[in-house]
Amino acid sequence: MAYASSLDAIGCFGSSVADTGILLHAIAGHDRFDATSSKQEVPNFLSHFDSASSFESKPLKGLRVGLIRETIEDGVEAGVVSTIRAAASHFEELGCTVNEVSLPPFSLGLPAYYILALSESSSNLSRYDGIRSVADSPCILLSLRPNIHTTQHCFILCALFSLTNHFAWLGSISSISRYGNQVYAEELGSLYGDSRAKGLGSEVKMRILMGTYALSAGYYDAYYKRAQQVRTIIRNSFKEALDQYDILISPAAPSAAYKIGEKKNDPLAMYAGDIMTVNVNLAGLPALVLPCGFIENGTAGLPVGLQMIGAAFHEGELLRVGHIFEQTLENGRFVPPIVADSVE
Amino acid sequence: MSYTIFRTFQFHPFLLYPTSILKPRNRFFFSTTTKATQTKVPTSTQSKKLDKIPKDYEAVIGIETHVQLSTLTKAFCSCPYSYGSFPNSSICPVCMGLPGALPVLNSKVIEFAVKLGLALKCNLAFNSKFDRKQYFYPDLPKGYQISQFDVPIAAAGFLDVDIPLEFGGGHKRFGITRVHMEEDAGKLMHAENGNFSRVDLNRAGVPLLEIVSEPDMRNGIEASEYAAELQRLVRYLGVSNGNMQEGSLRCDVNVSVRPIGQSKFGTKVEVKNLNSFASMSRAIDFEISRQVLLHSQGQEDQIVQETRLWEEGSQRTITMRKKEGLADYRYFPEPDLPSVILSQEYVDAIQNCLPELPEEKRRRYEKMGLGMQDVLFLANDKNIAEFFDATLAKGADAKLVANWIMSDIAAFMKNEKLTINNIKLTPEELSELIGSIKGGIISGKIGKEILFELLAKGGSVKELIEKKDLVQIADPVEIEKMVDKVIAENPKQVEQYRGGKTKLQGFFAGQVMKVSKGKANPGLLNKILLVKLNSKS
Ligand SMILES: [Zn+2]
Repeated sequence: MAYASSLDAIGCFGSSVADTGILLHAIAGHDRFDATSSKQEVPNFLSHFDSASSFESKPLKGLRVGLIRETIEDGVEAGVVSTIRAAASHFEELGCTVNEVSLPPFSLGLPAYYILALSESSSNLSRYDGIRSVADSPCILLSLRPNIHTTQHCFILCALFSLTNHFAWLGSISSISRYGNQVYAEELGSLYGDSRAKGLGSEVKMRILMGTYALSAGYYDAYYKRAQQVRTIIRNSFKEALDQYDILISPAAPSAAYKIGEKKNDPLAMYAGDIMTVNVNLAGLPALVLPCGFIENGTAGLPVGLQMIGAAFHEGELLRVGHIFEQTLENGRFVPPIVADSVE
Repeated sequence: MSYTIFRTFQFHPFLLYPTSILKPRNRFFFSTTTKATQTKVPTSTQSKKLDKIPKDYEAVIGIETHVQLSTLTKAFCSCPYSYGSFPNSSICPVCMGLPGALPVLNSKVIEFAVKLGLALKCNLAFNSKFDRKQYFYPDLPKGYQISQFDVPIAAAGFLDVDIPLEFGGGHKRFGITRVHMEEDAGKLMHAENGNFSRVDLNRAGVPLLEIVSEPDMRNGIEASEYAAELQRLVRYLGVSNGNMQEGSLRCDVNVSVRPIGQSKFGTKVEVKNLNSFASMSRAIDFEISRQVLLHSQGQEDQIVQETRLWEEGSQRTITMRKKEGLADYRYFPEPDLPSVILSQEYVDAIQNCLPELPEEKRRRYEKMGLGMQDVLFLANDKNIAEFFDATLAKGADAKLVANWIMSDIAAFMKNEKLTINNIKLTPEELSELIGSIKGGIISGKIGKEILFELLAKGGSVKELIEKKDLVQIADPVEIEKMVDKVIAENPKQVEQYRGGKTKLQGFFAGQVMKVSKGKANPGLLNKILLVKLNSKS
């Protein structure tokens, strides 16, 4: 299901870098049903996962690592910063050179991302319109409130007639072609409005409204178009930095995880939590996030994620570096204290 | 006529239910959803409206044409499309707009767009893109139409048209503003009782080219000739069947009127439901005279931006929907599709494979010395033009071939309700026939007999001549014998002739021809006959 098409990408999760690599390798490559997927040949990601015992003393010798300065400045939790600095030291122990690198437009990423994502999702979610969803009768649609008004209309797909079709998926069309609720209405605008008002959740509706606003006549240039320009600036600044460094590192989030529901009433604070990762999405680059430590005095030792960003199509390099980093980290295979506590 | 009205009403519930929910703000039915039956209108009705356009006003007409491309599959999925197939029998998750399904562009759409763009002498955009045009309507499953907004694939071209002689003749060039690619929407089928509507998505996702003209047309004929030329062009190019009744070619027309000399355009009115070139021409002329009348009565403020519907039954336009400000389609670049990049090699390859276009064909025929009436008759129908050219290729004389096609062959096709593709006569045999007459092997009269035989039953000219012993008699001795025989048998007429009634020569010639069973060479016959008749005087 599409959210923001120009940003959407499959995120692979695994219990280790190697697991994640196996999953990525399985799904990577051109998909002929997705015109935006690359036709570039997929290298073998699986060749990078040597066992820790075979590592040399400086397994990442010569690797140039850039720590993005803007991600460890004001507004980022102190515990997060110190954990990331420790991770940087770990990179140095592995033989890397680590330097701070500045990406001036970094902070512009968050607003640009939200404008683009909400604009696209307002459009992508238009199809949840209540039209393909109707009651029981397969083809004849009853007047929705019988006996009341002759101008009541409702809409259905006559897909059910397509039994003669020989495509495998068609057998199930009658079920998949009808989804969501259709609210009974006497007027087309209300049918749409009421169905969507009832069927979509409040966060979704808020995002649709904001995206619709950003694309409206008179606002398009000020929002959507500028966000696209910012996107180009960000992409270029990352490209410049990745010409000098093999990988860039940053925290995965400005703070440790907040409690469930904690920021429910403060969506801006919640969206701000995405600041570290959205730039990568805008620039269209691969990134690997792995836990690198815990906030010591923080709330019951929550984990801190380290984000490693590589050049376009350098997933293999990211996986190799990530695997070595993970395997050589003290307590490399760790269980977060909060989980450990509850297990005991 | 009542049937027409009934049909129109049935497909336009708005008219039945003015408060109906089907009052979309952003769009309306495609004109083709009304399959209004063709009504023959007496020309008197037409001229009554035409002659009332005073000389001091001028009409400005622009046309938006949607051409449905005859690709094997839809624009963004692999569903086939064929007109009239069972509702929702050709749909898939992509063209149904189901969650998770993504569009993948059919490369034929680009090829056809480039073909038409080149044929319309447009500038091509080597780097264009698709955009989403967003609005809610039940026939639009995704909630947006994939279209092209600010960078159309082709722009700034023109179309050359020869106006038929019966409408004043002349060569006109109409500007093309832009050509862009987009997908069609589905179709709504409204229940007779108005209680519900059904959605048929067979047509959803079928590729279209939208061709927008400059406001260069000045009357109904120019507009319908423009549209007819566009139809010829897409048929010549093979990008569409151009069939108006099936909705493969749909025209929406913008009409405004202004006093001559005024540079500012008048308020434009959109006219829809034009199902044939004839109704297009009539609808425009009606709309012009309606607006001119309001102008001349000082009521130009009564002309408002609106969409009017052509009513075939009553031969007038009626208000369908007033414009409620500009619709906001919230266009933005389609993120599911990569941009459309054309290479020079690709464009050159298509350019080099373009067939001869109608305009080029007409100019070529004109250079052969054919009159404009012949030129239009031959070039207007791609199949007739091909037949004509094939006959020429076998060495026949252009004027003679044109005469044969336009007279006897055309008459035969009309009588038998056949097209040139299903007559039995082949271009080879027509050429052979013309050559046989020219070479004196058979007479023109025999030639016609053979022609009808060939049209109806086929066969070869040579065989027919042999089988029926139709070879022309060109031996002077043999003809002389026949002349002698006729002279001998008609002494009275000979006397009269020699007495000065020389008109009787025709009588003698006819008699000799009869004796020869129509096979005598007419030139030789007359020559010998004259000598004989005059020699003994
Ligand atoms: Zn399909």
